[in-house]
Amino acid sequence: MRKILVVFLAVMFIPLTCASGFADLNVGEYELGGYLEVGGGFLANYPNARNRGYLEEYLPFPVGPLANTDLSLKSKDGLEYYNFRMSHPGLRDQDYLLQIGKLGVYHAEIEYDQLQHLYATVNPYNDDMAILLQRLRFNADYTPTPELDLFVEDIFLRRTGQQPSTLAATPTGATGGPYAFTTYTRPISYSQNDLRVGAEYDKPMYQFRLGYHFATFDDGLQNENFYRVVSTTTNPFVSLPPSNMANYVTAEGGLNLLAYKTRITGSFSYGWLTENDTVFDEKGISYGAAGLSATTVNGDISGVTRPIEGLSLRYSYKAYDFQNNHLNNNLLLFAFSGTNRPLLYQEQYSYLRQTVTAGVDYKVNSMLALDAGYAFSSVDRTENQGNTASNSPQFGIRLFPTNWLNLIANYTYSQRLGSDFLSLSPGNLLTYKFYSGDDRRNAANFIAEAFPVNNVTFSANFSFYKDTFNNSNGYGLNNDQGWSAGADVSWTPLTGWR
Amino acid sequence: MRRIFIPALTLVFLILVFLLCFSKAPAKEADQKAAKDKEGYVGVEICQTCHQEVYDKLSKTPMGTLFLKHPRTAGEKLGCETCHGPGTEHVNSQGKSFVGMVRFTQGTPTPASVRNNACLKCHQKRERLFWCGSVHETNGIACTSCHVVHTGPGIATPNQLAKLTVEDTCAPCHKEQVRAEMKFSHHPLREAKMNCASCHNPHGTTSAKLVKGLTNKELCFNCHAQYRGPFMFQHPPVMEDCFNCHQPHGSNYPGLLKAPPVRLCRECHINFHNLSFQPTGGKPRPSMMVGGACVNCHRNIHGSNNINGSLFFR
Repeated sequence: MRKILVVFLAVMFIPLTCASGFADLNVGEYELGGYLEVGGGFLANYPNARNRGYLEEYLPFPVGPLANTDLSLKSKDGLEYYNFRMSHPGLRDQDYLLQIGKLGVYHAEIEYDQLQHLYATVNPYNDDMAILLQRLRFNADYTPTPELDLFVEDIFLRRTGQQPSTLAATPTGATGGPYAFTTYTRPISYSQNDLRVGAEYDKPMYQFRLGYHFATFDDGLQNENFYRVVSTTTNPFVSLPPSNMANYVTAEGGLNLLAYKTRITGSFSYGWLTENDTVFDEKGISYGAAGLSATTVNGDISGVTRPIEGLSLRYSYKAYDFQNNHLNNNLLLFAFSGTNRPLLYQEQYSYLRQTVTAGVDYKVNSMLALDAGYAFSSVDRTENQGNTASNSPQFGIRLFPTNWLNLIANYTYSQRLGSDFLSLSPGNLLTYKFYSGDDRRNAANFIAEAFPVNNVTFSANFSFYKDTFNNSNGYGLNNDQGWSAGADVSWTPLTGWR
Repeated sequence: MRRIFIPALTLVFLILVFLLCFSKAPAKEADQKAAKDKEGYVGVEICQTCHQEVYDKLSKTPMGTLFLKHPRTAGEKLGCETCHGPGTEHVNSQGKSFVGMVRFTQGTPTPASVRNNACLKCHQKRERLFWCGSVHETNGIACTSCHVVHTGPGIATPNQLAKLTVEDTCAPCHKEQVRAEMKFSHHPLREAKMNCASCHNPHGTTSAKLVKGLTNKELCFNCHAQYRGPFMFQHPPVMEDCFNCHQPHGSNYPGLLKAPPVRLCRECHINFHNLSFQPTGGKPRPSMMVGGACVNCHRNIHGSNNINGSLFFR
């Protein structure tokens, strides 16, 4: 512990900013601005590999030379720009961003950044248990006219390294003696890519957008025998996450109707998911391609109407349908053969989730506003797997007693009930298959904001909740409650300072 | 219910398309009305005579560059009055009257909806498409509650936030979520590798809690696609909602779990292994309910592609 404290101090005080500079130069038809920071850091007492996870979970110690920069090149008319940002080059959290664009016409950026996830566990064979996440992101917007937007984004994520996977307990001496608990790792080599393209047409009275999302995931390892080190059995093969693919087509829009000052918005999305990776057993024997697929349909329509000054009416309907398409898949029928067959329907069912909301807001006068809302949500499952429903009314009040004070309070009650429980035996406790049980929640929030002068803001917040679980006497947890409170002060003494 | 779902959605979609077509005529009328109203405008040069400092700041922002130097539309040519409304009466009263003007300063009597409409005239697309009716709009939040246009230090921040970071912007009202980020198991927000807007669109979405996804699980798959499946053996809570087991804002339990691993599993699986469970066979061992508990053995709990993976073993 003492060693760790020394390291903390070293991290906080030793990194030095040796030099930094700010430039604002004319370069031909362009202006160059920005800053460059150069420095370095070292640790007086570097922690051993086993302790590092406690200290630098996501961010590495900034040891060695450091350089950060944020440079911009702008045309003198202010329209064209080129920005380059860089932070922590060479470290495991390095980040590089390049942006180019012309205001109102196009914008493109490309970014590469890294993130480590270092685990604070010990292993006799491997001290450096970590995943390195690398992200390459590209996105571009093109606006040929103010009404039309074309956009594309591609994000490539790669995870490599080793992740804690399981725990083994081994006797260190004779039977009955102490045990050594050891975390064992498994290798990670995940790649995923998300490509989104779309177009949006925008007029003051309506907006319409079309989009397509293509997502892939690839596990570079397939089934590996990496548990050999801990297992002497002949079945050490492990089933890793299968490679998969998803496609989504989305149409969204909004419409401003002059009648009763109404805005209607809606969206519709259709998605199809496939997984065709090779299926193995625990001995590494192949059973062929999985041939699994599922579809999603999502629809939403909502509106806001303001028939008179100060009164708003809100309403929405949303449906999400998840459809499994492989109940007749030959591999599944083989895997769920015999007494396992009922499990097939308990796992590979489909479901429809629907949500209806309605609400009203009324601004009584310049000092008082009230709101009320109600939400109903249900999940209906096929294959006789039951349903779940929840109701949630809520109320709120906003007071503005002066032009420098806002007081906001709201209260929400929600109740969840289901019919998807299994009663293991008559008179036994209920077991819910899809959530932890029926419950009721009471939640309240209070916020106070004050602006005594224009450059000072105070805010205070208090939240409270209480959960009550039905039929939970036998579990020992009948209710749960909690609260949080906090305050902020924001002061802007001079322009450009906070 | 499922049979009528697709036709109902198709009908809703067609109605929307019809309404879109129908709305074109009023849109033209609105443009003509806007052109007619231009009579009350004074022009940027007049505003500059008293508000030179504001003009200088605005001209350095992307919006100011377009409005003041390179306007693309008749609306943008109005400069300051594009957002603040016609200023003739304000000028005639030597700055004392604000009748007909839209003001954005703290404590202004201009209602948030009126202030927001000034912004939405140009910014109703992309992330703001579902602003109307969103929880923030309903609670009277103005665009200028979180963004600044030509005042304050935030004009130099990405998206011209009123505060220096996204977290600072959200924190005054969402302390519980920000507090959760300080727990041992957390997403890398406090390390500045993510922010609230990585998962939420504060301007409004069609999904609950303003998440950027059709549902919670589609949001999570943006970074955790290894759990997307479909799998040979599905774990139903995973198939429905990641948040059945995980608390995304932060947790005191590993893997952002909502409860200690052993307790979480037993919320549904009450009649399975007891707390001193020892695997059968092999050498005598202590309870395996330490560490990852059930997941020590049922490693592929998100789903398995093993032909014998019904119990999600490793």
